[in-house]
Amino acid sequence: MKKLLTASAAVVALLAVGATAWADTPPEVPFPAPKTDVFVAVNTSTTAGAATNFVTRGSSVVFSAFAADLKTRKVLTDKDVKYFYVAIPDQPNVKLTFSKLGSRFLWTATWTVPASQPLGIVPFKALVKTNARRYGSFVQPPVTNAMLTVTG
Amino acid sequence: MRYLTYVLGVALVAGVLAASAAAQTPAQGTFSLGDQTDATPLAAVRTAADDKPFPGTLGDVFLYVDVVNGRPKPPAVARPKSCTQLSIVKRGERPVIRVYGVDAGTGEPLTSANVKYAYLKIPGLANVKLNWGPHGSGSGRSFFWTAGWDVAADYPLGVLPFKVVFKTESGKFGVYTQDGLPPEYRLTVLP
Repeated sequence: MKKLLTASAAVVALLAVGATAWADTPPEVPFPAPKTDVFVAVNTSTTAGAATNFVTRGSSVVFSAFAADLKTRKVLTDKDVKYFYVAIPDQPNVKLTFSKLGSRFLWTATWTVPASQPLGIVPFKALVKTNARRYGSFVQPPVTNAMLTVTG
Repeated sequence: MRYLTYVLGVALVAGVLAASAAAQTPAQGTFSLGDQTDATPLAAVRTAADDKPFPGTLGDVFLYVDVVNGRPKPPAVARPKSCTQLSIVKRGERPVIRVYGVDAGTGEPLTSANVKYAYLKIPGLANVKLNWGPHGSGSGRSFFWTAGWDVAADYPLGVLPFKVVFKTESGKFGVYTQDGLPPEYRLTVLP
């Protein structure tokens, strides 16, 4: 009887440990979202074109973006879009303009960091609405060192 | 008369050349992402290629791509902060390409469950497999694709025309290059 109780207790303990381990396993959250209607990609660079995620107060950062309607498989141009802008907390929206960069057209906008901008990460978003009333958004991949940051 | 014949002959040859050039110009709406249609003949003064959006006109798979700095092998000196975005790397450093994407047909993200293969093509090197894994920390932890490599001490300087290639289990391809962007926007190797 004692042996049986010991064995039962061991099984219960193992089950409990297993359940805890399962509960601790983080869910696999693919970036950017489980389902998307309009895909949006945004990169940041200096005004000279070098990719960076660091910017200082008074200097400017260039957002360059593209978006695609996943229903039509088409990359969006200025003919397809009702609005497309970068939203920065406590700042006016920064409108993206469809313009030529190199030999291609893509959406760009320049934001000059105000002197009052808080230091640290800038959790910007890009939001697009198509003429067909489909929406898309961009948020930065959640890796702190790679996110747009005001350094001083 | 002889002069007129000569002029007509020149015009005919010019017409044939122009028609040939036009035939080589890709029709609008038939580009695929990351294709190499920048080789459009210069004779085509203003063609569809001039108005071509980045990264292409139509796609089956769309990709976000950026480059961050990874930890290089000694004796290369690591940058003060890892995982910061860059487009300029020095020999000995370790750039890491970060990618995520979606299947245009389903709107679903590309994951290890629906991607057959994904790799990074760097001129002069064997393909580097893109790995699917978690990044970030806490509640913001997300899964996407990454691949890094060490820039050799003798790697050619200048723009590094890397290519990211995905094939989905359903047979769709996604290709990303920086073709068409100004040189200063592209990944560049410095001494």
